[in-house]
This record gives sequence, C-alpha cells and structure tokens, in this order.
Amino acid sequence: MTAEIIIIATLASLACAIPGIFLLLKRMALISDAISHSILPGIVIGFLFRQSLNTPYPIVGAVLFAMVMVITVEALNRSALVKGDTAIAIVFPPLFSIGVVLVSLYANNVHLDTDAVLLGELAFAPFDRMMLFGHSLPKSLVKMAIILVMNLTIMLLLFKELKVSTFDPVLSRSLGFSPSLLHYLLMFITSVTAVGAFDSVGAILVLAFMITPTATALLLTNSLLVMVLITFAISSASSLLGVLLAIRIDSGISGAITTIMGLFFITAYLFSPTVGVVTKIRNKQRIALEYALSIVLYHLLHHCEEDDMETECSYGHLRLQFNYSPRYMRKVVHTGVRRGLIEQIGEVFHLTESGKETHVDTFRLHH
Amino acid sequence: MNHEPQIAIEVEDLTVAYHHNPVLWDIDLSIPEGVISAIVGPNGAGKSTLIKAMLRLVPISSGTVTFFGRPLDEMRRSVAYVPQRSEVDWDFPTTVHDVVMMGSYGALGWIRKPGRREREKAMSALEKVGMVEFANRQISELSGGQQQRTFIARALVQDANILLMDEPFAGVDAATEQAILAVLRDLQQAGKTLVIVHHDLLTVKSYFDHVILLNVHTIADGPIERTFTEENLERAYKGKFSAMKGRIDESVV
Amino acid sequence: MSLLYDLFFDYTLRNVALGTLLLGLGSGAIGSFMTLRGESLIGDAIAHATLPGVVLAYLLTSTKDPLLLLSGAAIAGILGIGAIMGLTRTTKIDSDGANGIILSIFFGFGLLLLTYIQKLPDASQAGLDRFIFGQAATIVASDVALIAIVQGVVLLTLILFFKELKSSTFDPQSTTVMGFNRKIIDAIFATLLVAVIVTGLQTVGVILISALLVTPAAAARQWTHSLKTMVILSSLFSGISGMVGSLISATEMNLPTGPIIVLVLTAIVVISLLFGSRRGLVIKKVSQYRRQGHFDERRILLALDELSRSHDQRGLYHSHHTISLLVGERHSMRRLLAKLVKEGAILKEGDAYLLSKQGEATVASLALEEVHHDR
Repeated sequence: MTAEIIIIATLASLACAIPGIFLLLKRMALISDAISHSILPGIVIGFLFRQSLNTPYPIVGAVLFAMVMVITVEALNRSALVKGDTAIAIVFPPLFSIGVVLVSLYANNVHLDTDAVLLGELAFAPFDRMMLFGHSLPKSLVKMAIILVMNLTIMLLLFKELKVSTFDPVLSRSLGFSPSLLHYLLMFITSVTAVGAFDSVGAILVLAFMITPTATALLLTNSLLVMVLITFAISSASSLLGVLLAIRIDSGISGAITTIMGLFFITAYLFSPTVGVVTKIRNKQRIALEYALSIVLYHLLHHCEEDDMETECSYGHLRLQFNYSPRYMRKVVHTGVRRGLIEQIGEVFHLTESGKETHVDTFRLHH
Repeated sequence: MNHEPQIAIEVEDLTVAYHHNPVLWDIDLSIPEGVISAIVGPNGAGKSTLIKAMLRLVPISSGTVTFFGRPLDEMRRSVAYVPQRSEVDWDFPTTVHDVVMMGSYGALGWIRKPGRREREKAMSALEKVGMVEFANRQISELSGGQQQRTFIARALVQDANILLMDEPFAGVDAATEQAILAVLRDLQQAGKTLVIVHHDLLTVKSYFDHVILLNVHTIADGPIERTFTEENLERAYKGKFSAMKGRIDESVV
Repeated sequence: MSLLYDLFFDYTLRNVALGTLLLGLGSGAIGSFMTLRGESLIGDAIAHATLPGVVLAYLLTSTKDPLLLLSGAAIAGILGIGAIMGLTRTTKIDSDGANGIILSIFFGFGLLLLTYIQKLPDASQAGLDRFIFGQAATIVASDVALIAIVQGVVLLTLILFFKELKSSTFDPQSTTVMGFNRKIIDAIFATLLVAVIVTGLQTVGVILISALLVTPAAAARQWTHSLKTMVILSSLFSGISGMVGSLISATEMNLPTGPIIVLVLTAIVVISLLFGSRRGLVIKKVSQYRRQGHFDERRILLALDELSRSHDQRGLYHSHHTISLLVGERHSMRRLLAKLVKEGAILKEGDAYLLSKQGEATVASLALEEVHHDR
C-alpha cells in the first residue's frame, strides 16, 4: 500500500510540475493557486449531479469554472479598472466561496467536505479502487497517470512552441503560433491537473506541487530542458521522501511532501553553485577585493600624472577617498603590491609598468 | 546677489557598480551655483544613475558627493528631485494639487500634517507652471507635458536651492518644452542651480549654460562654450557621433 | 426584526457581527495601500504563511490561548513577508513566484505540523484547523476586544502616517530624497498588514482574508479619485460586508460566515465596476457615447460650413446624403440633425440643411477654441 501511495504521489507531483514550469516562467505562478480554488464550485456541482466524484462531471465542471475565472481575470485586466494581480485577487475568492457554500448547503455529511477538498488526503487513495485490464488499481492512480500522460504528450509536442511563447510572445506570434491559443491550452491543462490532484494533494498545495520544484530548478540552471529534468527529479524525490516522512511521524502526506520540496528549495537557495547565498558571499568577497583593487589602480592612473599626486595618491588620501575600513584598505593595497602592480615611494603610491597594463585590461573587461 | 558663486555640487571619485559591473567609474565633477547644467551622453552612459547616485537612491561603491560642501543628509531641505514621468503610477487616486503638496512633506517631517500654508504654497507653485486650472484634475487625465509640470511644481514647493531633474523634456510637445524651459529660466533667475539629464543634443547649446559629458566616466564638464565641443562629443559618443554629426553641426558649430 | 433583535441580544451573533465589522474597517483601510503598491496577492501569501506559527505556538506552550497562538501567527507572518521581499530582491524569481513559494513552503510545513499533532493521543489540540477555514461562531467577547484593540491601533497608525504612506506609495524615490527612510515606511506597512491578517484568521480563515483586503479597495477605487476617500470607502465597504455577511450567515440555513462575507463584498465590487461614479464601465460608456455625439455634432456644423464656402452661391441647402459623405455615415445622423435643427443651429428644408446665423457663430467660436487648444 505504501508503494501505491508513493506511486500516486509521484504521478501527481510530476503532472503538476509540467504546467507549473511554464506558469512560473510566464510570471503567473499564482494563477495556478487561483485555478485550484476556483474549481471548487464546478467540482461540487459535478459531484451533486451523480453524487460521486469518480464521474467525468466534476472534471467538466471544474474546467468550466477555471475558464470562467481565467476569462474574467483577463477581461478585468483589459478594462484597466484594476491593475496586475488585483484581478486574480478579487475573482477567485467568490468562486471558492460559492463552492464552500454549496458544500455546506447540499453536500454536508457526504463524502465531500471542505477539509478533504482543501487539504487532500492521499492516505485514503488506495481504498477507492477500480478494475483495469484485470488488475485492481486505485482510481487516483489511474486518474493521475492519465493526466500525466496527457501533460507529457502536450509538452513534448509543443515544447518548442511553449518555449517560444513563454520567453517571447511577440516573436511567437510572428512565427505563427498563437500565444493566446497556447495560453488557453496551458490554462486548460492547469485546471485539469488541479482537479485531478485536488483530492489527493488538496487545493492549497496544488500550488506548491506546481511551482516549488520548478522554482528550485530555476535557481540551478538557465536551460529550459535541464530545468524540466531537475524539476522532475525534485518532484519524484520529494514524493518518495515525503511519503516516507509522513508514515514515519504519522502526519498528513501532502504537507510532508511540500515540506521536503521546501527543503530542496532552501538548499538550492543557500548552496546553488551559481546564485546560492553561500556562493554569492564567497564570490562577493573575492570579487570585492579585485574590484577595490581595480578602482584603486584606476585612481592612481587617473591622478598620479597630475600635480596633486602628493596628496591624491598618499595612503591617507586613498583611505579617505574610498569608503573602506583602514584594515581593508591596507589589504587592498597590499594585494596590489604583492602582485607587483603598485609600488610605494615614500608616502606616495605609484603604478608599476605592469600595473598600468593590468589596469587597462581590467577596464576593458568591464566594458 | 553679489556674492562669489560657490560650488553647488561636488562629486569626487564616484563609482557605482551593479553586480560589480561599473555603471559609473571614478566620476569627478563640480557644478557651480546658479547654472542650468545638462548631463549628456549616449544610452547606457549612466546619466540617470549619476543623479540617483548623487541622491543616494542607488548604492555607491566609492566616492563622495557634497552639496554646498555638506553631505546630503544635512542638506535634504536644499535638494529636490524630479524623477522621470514613467517612474510613478499615474493611475494613483490623487489630484494635481495633492501631488504638488507632497513637495511640502519633507519640510513637515514625520507625522505632521499639511495645513493651509502648504495648500497655498502648492497653489502658487501651480500658478508658476501655468497649471492652476488643473489643480483639481485627477492625475490620470493629464498629458505628458502636464504631468511634467506637475512634478516641477512639486519641486518648487520644496523651496530647494538645487533641483535634479531626470529627462524633463522627454515625450512632451514643443510648446510644453518651451513652457518648461521658461519655468527653469525663472528658477535660475531666482538663484537656483539646476542639473538636468538631457537627451537632445540639438538643444543643449540654446537651453543650458553648463554641461557634463558622460560615458561611464566623465568625458568633460564645464561651461557650455568650452566643453560642448565636437572633440568632446566625439569622445563621449565614440563612433556613434560621426553618424549624427551632420545634424548636430547646424546647431553646435 | 428578529435578526435585529438578535444582533443586540444574542451573545454569539453580537460578537460575530461586531468582530467582523471591526475587522473589515481595518482590513479595508490597509488593503487600499496594499493594492496601490501593486502587491495585491501578498496578503494571501502572508495569511497562509501564518499557519506554522499558530501550530508551533501551540506545540511549544500546549495552551490554546488565542493571544499566544496569534502571536505565533504574527511572527510567522513577519518572517513570510521578509522572505518574500528577500526572494524578489536577491533572485530572478518574480513577486508572483515569491508569493507562491513562501505560501507553499510555510503552509505545507504548517500542515505537516498540524496533521502531526492532530494524531497525537492528547485530543485537546482539536480546533486549531479553525484558523484555516475560520469559524466566526467560535469567537467570544475577549476575541472581539482583541480585534477592537488591534484594528484601533492599526487605524490610528494609518492616520498618523497617512502622509508618509501616501507619498511613498505614489513615488517612493522622491519620498526617500525628502528624508523619509523607506525601510521604516515599509516596516510600518508590513506590521499593519500582518496585524490585520492575524486578527482575521479566527473569523474568516487564511484562504479568504485576502479578499477582505483587496476586494473593498478595488471597489472603492471606482468611486473616487482621492486616496483619503478611497481608504474610508474601502474601510466602510469591508466593515459593512463583514456585518451584513455575518447576519446573513446567521439565518436558518446556517451558512459559513467567511464565504458569505466574501460574496457580499463581491456584490459590492461588481456594482462598483459597473456603476462606479469615477471609472465604472457604465459611466465610461455613457460619457463615451455623449462625447461621440458632441463630436459628431461639431463635425456636421463644420461640414455645412465647408459646403457653403465651396459654393459660390450662399444660402444653398445641402442634402442629408452630401453631409453624410463629408462626416461619414452614422446611424445617429438623423437624430443629431434633428437636434441641431431644434437648437436653431441649422435650418431644414425637406431633407436638406443649411447653417443658420447662430450656427455660423458656433463654427467661428469652434475655430477660435481650436487655436487656443493648439497653443
């Protein structure tokens, strides 16, 4: 049973990751949150239709409501009556509220309650089973597998188009792909994925599954293909470790998976070899020294041919000139002397011949 | 007004870097009191950054900036900034009069509210820029030139001796440009020092009496006749200058 | 009537109505600044980010004292808002992404902790999840007192620093140059926002509190061009929705309070977007229609003027068709011509028209106006 839960979790996180990558790159990560909340009334109405969640009706209802949300948000933005995220922020809460009210009016005491919708419970998934090709499989597993295959197919078929329309909508239009068609396709797969995942992941954490692994990958690479691969790796690893953690401490599964995803993100934020905090601090110190040295060299070159070199190029003046501590200033000048770029004659510093050349090089490098 | 003109702004060894790429490199310049000075240079020369660095709106890597010999923090009452129009949201719910009154906030300090004196001051500033009839207009309904005049009126309310302006002539029609110029000349007459980021080389000679040619470092700075020379422009604009030289010649030489 | 009676004498209903009213007053006010700063979804992110604070406060102290739990929430909220600001500043992740990531990580961790303690043998932790959904019915007089104090302090602070918040929202750079430290202003804003959100958790919950911030502000914006009026209106919209919503939810159907408040607010925003006196869609359409009519009238007069000049013989009447050729076909043409005849600006003979003396004067003044306008 644990194996089944791990498989369902992995399928769900991979399925969520695909639209998530493009949403994050299109700078509209929170539309996925708005979608996962807006679909609630659609799910409830679809549920009430047949008193069951495992019919196509909830999915159809969910997609309809997601489209209502997306279209309303776009109409509001076009009207220029509200700006930016405000449209999203005023459209999804009432849709969600309608869903909650419907649940409290009609669906009380049945299988559908807000806790389950919002927070999800993967642990129950293996109990709801169906027969497929002679095997008994959890319905959630089949559902998420179908959605994942759909998302993967769309992504593979349209990878190039999605890439172009994500990074450059104008170029994309001139090449003949309709960015708005692709946009609606993206909204469509986001809502289908959200409705498929909501009973195992929960409406709130659909957002986490969609964007946290991708955001982590974004800190590690600039290539879209590598980003997709890293995202998949993090999604799978988080699902596995999250389920194991949840079983170990007896907690909810989606919270545990998200926590692991969060740990991956924090780790990348701190230790990413390119943009991580630790790397940045280490680089900063090194670059700062090089940089300080180069502006000192520049200053010496600039002023030491002039009459006022006695004052401009003395140690005391250099210290006043740059906002560095005396200790740091000494370190900078020392580095210059050690590399044979600066020499000290009396109280005054001069550039050596190689210092003058080096300076010209660094300056060119900067431009 | 018979005193010796002082140095209004003195910049020494100013360097600004974003991610350790220098945007401004070892800038030295001084701007005398009472001039209208243009900051001129090609795109990416760091013109706006220079003004922002003087005002400490961007972090600086080294150097000092003084206003009448004193650091900015002691001189805030004497310095006003007129940002580019595009830097604020003109859909903000407020009126022209209200924006102009914001110029008095610095003098009021924390918590104290503007009163009748501040309102009247705002009206007289609007009068100076010819915007009285627009006082109660919502700011989203203004044209580019009117937005610019509103900003200048706000700076007038500050009673500053030094005004730093970022592209006040950008995107305004010819008539408004002349109207703004007239206001600037009035300010100069009143003894103020104006430093203006400017992009139109054709008008530099007629509008300004002091110029700073900039391209990451200071190419030249000083009175217009001595400084705004073909040779200096060639150095500031590198190859690009030759291409537009034909047009410039008519006005420069 | 019985509802009104209950409002005064039913203990629970009075608490709920008063609590949501007060909460709305504060949320609508600070929400105005939040939306104008272009950070409409930061409230949503912070609200979700408070969950681990609530649960950790309970885990560490084993009490359910609301003051303590809400302090935990406030600390988590402040950490969340700091993390969002840090992420957008130091990485290439945009503000939408940063909001989403902090919301996810904090809420996911909070949910992990919550589900963990819910399965502990000690059953007294039950009820912490009311912070997620909000349960207005559970608030008691001391909760209302807490809401009153916090919202009072928030409103007072807003009044004190109104000038600074306004200036820095409109033009942060110039405000800094004038000597107001931006970090201090941002800190004031963040603290007020977290305070309002935290006190709203018990009544409306983490998911819907954001609507109490953004929706009234978006509605208020449609009615005014003054920030002060916008803040007051937004505050009233949110407060009234809070009270009306809690009264509706107290009817026999026993509907959940938070969602009903949100639906009342949404009704207000829809009405405002359509009919708002400053920008509403209907007003826009009407004035656009009027302007177009006014514009077409002028064009008819100018066309007739031009026609009379182009003919040697003065006083010729020109047909409807000729005028249409010059002005362009409009279905409003007949109406406008009739209107101009009635006003005496043009003379009519059969289906042909001529500029009257009065009309000529109008054309002359139009030309003058144009010269003035160009200048």
